[in-house]
Amino acid sequence: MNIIPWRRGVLIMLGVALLSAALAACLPDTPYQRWSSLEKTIQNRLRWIYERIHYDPAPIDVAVLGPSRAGAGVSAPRVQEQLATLGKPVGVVNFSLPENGRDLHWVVENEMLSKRSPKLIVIVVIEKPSRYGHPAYKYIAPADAVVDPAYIGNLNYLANLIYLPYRQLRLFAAQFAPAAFDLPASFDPARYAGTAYDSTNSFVTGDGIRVERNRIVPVAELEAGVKRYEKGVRPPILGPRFADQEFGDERAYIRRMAAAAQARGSKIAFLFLPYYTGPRVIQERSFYEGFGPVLDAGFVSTHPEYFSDVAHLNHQGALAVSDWLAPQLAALLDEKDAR
Amino acid sequence: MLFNSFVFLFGFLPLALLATYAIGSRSQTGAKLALTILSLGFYAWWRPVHLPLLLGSIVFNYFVGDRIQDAHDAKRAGVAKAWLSFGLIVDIGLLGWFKYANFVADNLSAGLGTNWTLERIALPLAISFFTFQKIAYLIDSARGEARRMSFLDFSLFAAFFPQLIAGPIVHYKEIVPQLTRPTFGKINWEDIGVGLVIFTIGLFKKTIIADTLSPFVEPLFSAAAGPGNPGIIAGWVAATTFTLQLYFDFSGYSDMAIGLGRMFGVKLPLNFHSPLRAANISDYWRRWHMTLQRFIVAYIFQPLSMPLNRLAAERGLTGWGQFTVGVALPSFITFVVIGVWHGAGWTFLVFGIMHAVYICINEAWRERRKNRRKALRKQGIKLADPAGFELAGYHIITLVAVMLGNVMFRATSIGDAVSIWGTMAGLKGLDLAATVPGLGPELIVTSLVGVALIAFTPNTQQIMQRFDPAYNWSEWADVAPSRLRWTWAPTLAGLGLAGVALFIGVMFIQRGQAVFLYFNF
Repeated sequence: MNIIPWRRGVLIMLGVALLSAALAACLPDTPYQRWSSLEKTIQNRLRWIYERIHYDPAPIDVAVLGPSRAGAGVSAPRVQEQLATLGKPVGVVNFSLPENGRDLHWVVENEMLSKRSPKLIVIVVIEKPSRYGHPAYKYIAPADAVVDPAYIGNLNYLANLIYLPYRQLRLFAAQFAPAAFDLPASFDPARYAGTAYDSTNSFVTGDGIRVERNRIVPVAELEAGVKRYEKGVRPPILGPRFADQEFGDERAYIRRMAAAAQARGSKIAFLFLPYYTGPRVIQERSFYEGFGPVLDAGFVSTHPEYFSDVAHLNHQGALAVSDWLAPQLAALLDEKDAR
Repeated sequence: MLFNSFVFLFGFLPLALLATYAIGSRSQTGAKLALTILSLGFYAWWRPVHLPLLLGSIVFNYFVGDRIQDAHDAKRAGVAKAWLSFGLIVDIGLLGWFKYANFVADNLSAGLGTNWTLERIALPLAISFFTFQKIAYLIDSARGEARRMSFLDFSLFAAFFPQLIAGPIVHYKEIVPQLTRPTFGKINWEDIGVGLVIFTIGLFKKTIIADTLSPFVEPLFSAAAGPGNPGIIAGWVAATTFTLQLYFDFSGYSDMAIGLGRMFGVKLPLNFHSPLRAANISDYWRRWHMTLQRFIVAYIFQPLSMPLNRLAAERGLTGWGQFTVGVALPSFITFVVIGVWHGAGWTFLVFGIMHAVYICINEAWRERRKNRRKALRKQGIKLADPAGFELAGYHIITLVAVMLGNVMFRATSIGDAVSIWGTMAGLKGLDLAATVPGLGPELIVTSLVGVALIAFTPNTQQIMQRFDPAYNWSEWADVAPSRLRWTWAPTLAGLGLAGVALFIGVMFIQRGQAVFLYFNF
């Protein structure tokens, strides 16, 4: 028996564990299964996004990307309808997702650009960007994207990286026995939510929670929500010099999104959606303006009848924003066509 | 902070090892201080508001222990006894307040038909464990078995994070000499390596087996306790699944604790030694949660048993009379205490009573067998030890008794437990074709693997026997050898296997960190 000295033995043991993790992380997967892996959560819209990109031949000319405020605030079918009346018969999608984190929007954009060439990508922004990446990023991003930290100070990086071997092993096995992992074997048109999916309607999350978007909230309830929301907002800590680190998720991935759009010939624009009574000042406005125009829908912030809760518009508010937005998008599409 | 969490594995543990050994290479006192502070931080991570309670308990028991030792050294037995009583009243009172006050108040109120209620008292993490450790220290001090030490050594002994939350419940004489020897705080790669392998085995047991079984238990218990007829199989699958989960969860935790202690150069005592392979209930309890068992035996059973035996002798009791007073009565009280120690609830009380009855029956059986052996010897016949089918029968009876007890332990009420027993007994109808909730490849394969590991393979300390894996390993080295013999060695294959097991154990944490069952106590 060849006994190995303990110091080297401990290093070998840890090395084998690390090597096993690295090998597992390299296992191939089926992207459709990956995008369907959050089917039973609030992020169940991811599966529809993948299906809309890959299995639905309807055109995608204008794509809205952003957090849940974008989902509640922009009705893709309504914008599409309004653009058509303005002489722009284009396909509009809203690929927004609940919760903040620009890294996942970049993943969605990349997936879309791998198959489609939209004319215009509208990125929804809020008054102050998140300091963290999206919690669903580690489940959905391709393995090489998870390995890439993107910027110094990525606070989610280690947690995302540690998850990767398990995810890949699971997805790898799911290719051979999808039912055992509760994942689809292939696209099922019967389960597809359709081309004209409207994210501004009330919906039920994958874990069975109904999110109501067709209600008008009493002002007192909204004001109480504002107090709670503002209590949780933290102003910048590190100052402008380190903004690329403190708000690295926003800045690094907006740069990447802009670069990817440019490479594909797509135009970028930003849409600001406020919370109820929220400020009109956009912390990163000048940064965004370096990549495209900022369309400011701040006018809705004083309309309590437009909100279903403190940060999300109701369907009525979404229609107001969509009707206001369509002519501006038409103008941007004109600019794009003129080039 | 859970041992099976990333913040522990990739944050706290490396930091604690680095701090202890980096500082320990220059100053042992510094290493102890660092490890004590980190251990207190480990405790506070869960609920910082209860840290003052732990700190208060440490300061109080150090002070009282000192007074007892002074009195013992000065041969002032009365003073030592007075301080010991004071210390025990405070410790047990504190435990009683936090753990049992709501239960007593609720039941008194219900019994007296009043609406009086006591505000809900949050149970401080690990209070049952650290209180028992302190009680043992005070009693050891009064017996002259615990010697004076610095406050820092006592604090580290009391707060040492591997054993702090759910044991093993340690004694002064086991731990303090290890903390005060000159090598403590000096890096020893063998200790780190052996500790890492033991930790890995525990992590594997917890995350691969216990956590896989965990989501099946609740639906199985609900179905088996429900009003319909879930079928006899559902009842037995529920009891088996929970028994396996409980064993792999708690023994896995204990392995992790022992492994972590070893990484810091401290050997902790064993807490499990293949208890589900026991052929009688007394043996089961010697090998299940061993440090609780020995605590109860040393500080409750023996102090009760000795005067009761004296009483029996004074009253001239012999045979079954002597057995009832001297053995059955203290056994009964001891196991009722064990039941109640687990929690404030009628199900725990009944669980304790069940095991008390089991133990009494077992002791009576043993007594009867002893008498028979004597009688046969007089006739020149030797009574053979049980073997073959007879022995297999004892194993089965013991396992079934344990499983019935575990049903009571896990059930939400006595009524539910009785209902599940009814299902197991087929009283709701046999219906062998009834659908068992969750019974699919995952549950079947995991259960079979669990059963095979228990029945045939060596346990953690047997696998690691080359490296004196626990403080009291020598006492158990020859007990309950496994059918399959295999020991681990730091060869390339052994290290590779351990590395892969570590990877799988860590990877399976990603399914969701299930809290250890014994964290509730």
